[in-house]
Amino acid sequence: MNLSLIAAMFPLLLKGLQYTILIALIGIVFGFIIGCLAGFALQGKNKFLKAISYFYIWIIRGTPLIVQALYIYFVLPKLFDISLAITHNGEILVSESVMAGIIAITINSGAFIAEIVRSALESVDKGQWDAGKSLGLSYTQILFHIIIPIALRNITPALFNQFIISVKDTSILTIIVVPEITHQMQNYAITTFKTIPAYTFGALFYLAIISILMIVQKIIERKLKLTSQNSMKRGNSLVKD
Amino acid sequence: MKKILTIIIVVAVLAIGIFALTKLGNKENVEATTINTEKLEGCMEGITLNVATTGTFAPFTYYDENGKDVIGFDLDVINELQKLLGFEIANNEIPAMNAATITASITEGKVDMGLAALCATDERKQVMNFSDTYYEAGLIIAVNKETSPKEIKSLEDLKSGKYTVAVETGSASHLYAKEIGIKEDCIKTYNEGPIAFTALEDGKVDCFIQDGPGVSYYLKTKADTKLAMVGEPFNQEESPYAIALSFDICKKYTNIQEVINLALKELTDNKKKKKIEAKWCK
Repeated sequence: MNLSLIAAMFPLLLKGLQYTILIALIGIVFGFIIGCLAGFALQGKNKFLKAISYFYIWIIRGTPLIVQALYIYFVLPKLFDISLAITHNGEILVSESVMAGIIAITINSGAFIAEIVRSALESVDKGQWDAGKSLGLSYTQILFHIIIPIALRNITPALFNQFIISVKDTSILTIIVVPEITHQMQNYAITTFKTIPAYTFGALFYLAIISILMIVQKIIERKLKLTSQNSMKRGNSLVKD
Repeated sequence: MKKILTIIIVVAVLAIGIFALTKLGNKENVEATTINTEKLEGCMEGITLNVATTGTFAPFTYYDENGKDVIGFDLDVINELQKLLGFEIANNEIPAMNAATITASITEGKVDMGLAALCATDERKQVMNFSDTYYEAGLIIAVNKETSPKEIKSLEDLKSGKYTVAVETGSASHLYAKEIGIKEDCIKTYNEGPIAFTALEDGKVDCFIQDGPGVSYYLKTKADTKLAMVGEPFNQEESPYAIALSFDICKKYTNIQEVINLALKELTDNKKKKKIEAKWCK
C-alpha cells in the first residue's frame, strides 16, 4: 500500500463525503418530519390519514432503495413534467441527480422513522394517559406535555441509527450519478485499475466516518440517560418534599 | 474517554488487518502449461474458462427482447471460438456484468476471458492482455436534438467545461474523456450505457460519448429517439475491440493469447467473421 494512492484518493473521498453528509443530513431532517407526521397518523384516530400513512410505508418498505432512486431520477420528472434541478440565473445550484438522491433518502428514511415513532408512541405506558386525565389535562395537553417528551427520548438512539443507515444508503445513489463517496471510489478504481487498494481505502474511509458517528451516538445516549436519571431524582425529591 | 480509545483501537486493528490482507492476497503460483497447437481444431479441449460479458452494449452484447439471454456480435464470436477450439465455459454460462465490474474482474483474474466490445487501450494493457483486433470502432458524440446546446459540434467544444458529458463508467470513452482533459465535474459517469442513453433522451446531460457502433445501433433501433450523432468519429485507431485475457490465465496457459489469435484469423479466413459482421453491423 503506497502513500501516493492515499494522497490521490483522499481529496476525492472528501469531496464525496460532502455529498454523502449533505444528502444524509437533509434526508434525515425531512425524513424525521415526514416520519413524525406518518407515525402520529398511524397512532391517531383519523382513518383517512392512517390509510395514507400505511400506503406510504407499504410502498417504501416494499421496494428497494435502488429502484426508488432510479424511479425518482428517471420517472418522476417525466410524470410531472418538471426538472428536479434547482437553478438560479441559469447556474445549476443543485443538480438533478443530487436532488433525486435527497428525495430518495428522505422518503426512504421517513418510512422507517414513521415505524420508529409509531412504536415509541405505543411503548409509552398507558398509565401516563390515565395520569394525565386524572390531572384534568386535555388530549392534546397529554400528548404534548407527557407522551411526546417520553417518546422522543426513547427514539433518539433509533433515530441516530437510522441516520447511520442513511449515510451508508447514499452509496446506492452512485447509480444515478450522485458524486458521493462510492462513486468517487469506483471512478478512481476503474480509471487507474488499482481496484484492490482503491476499494480497500474506500471501505476504511467509510469505516472511519461511521465510527465517528457511532461515538457521537454513544455520547448522546449517555447524555440522555443522565437527564432521565436527573429528572427521576428531581421527581423523588418532589415526593419527599 | 476510555470507550473512545477502545473504538480507535478497534479501527486501527481493522485497518491493519485489511492492509495485511491486501498484501497477502497474491495468487499462489500456478503450474504453467502450453497448449498443443499442432492442430488448431479442438486444441483447447478439456480446458474450462470463465468467460464474461457486459450485456449492455448493443449490437455487440445485449439482452434479447425477453431479457433472458445475452446475444450479439461478441456472443457469436465466442460461440465460433468454442466450436473451433473446443474449450468449455464454466457452468455453461456467460455472466453479464457492467463495464466497471468486468474490467476489475479480469484484472483480478476472477474472469479469464472477456468479450464485451472491450477496446484494447494502452491503459488496459497494463492490467490485462488482449487478442488481435476483431472489430475496429471509433468513439462518437451523441446529443439530444431538442435539449442539448447547439454549440456542441465536436470534441473541442466539450473541453470548454460548459457542458455535461455522459460516459459509461470504465469504458474506453470514460478513459478518453479524462485523458483529453474534460473537466472532472463535467463528466457524468453512468454505470451502464443504456442508463446514459435514457439520461440523454431526458435531457439530463448535454451529450454522451460512446463507441460508434453502439450509438448507430441505438439510433437505428430506438423508435422516435431524440438523439443524433455530431462530428466525426474519433480515437479510431485506439478503439479496436479485442478479446481480453487475464494475466492469470496467460500465466497458466502460456500460449493462450497466440491460440486465440490463430483462431480469430481462422474465423476471418473461413469467412465466419464476415457473416457475423453482416448479421449485426448492417
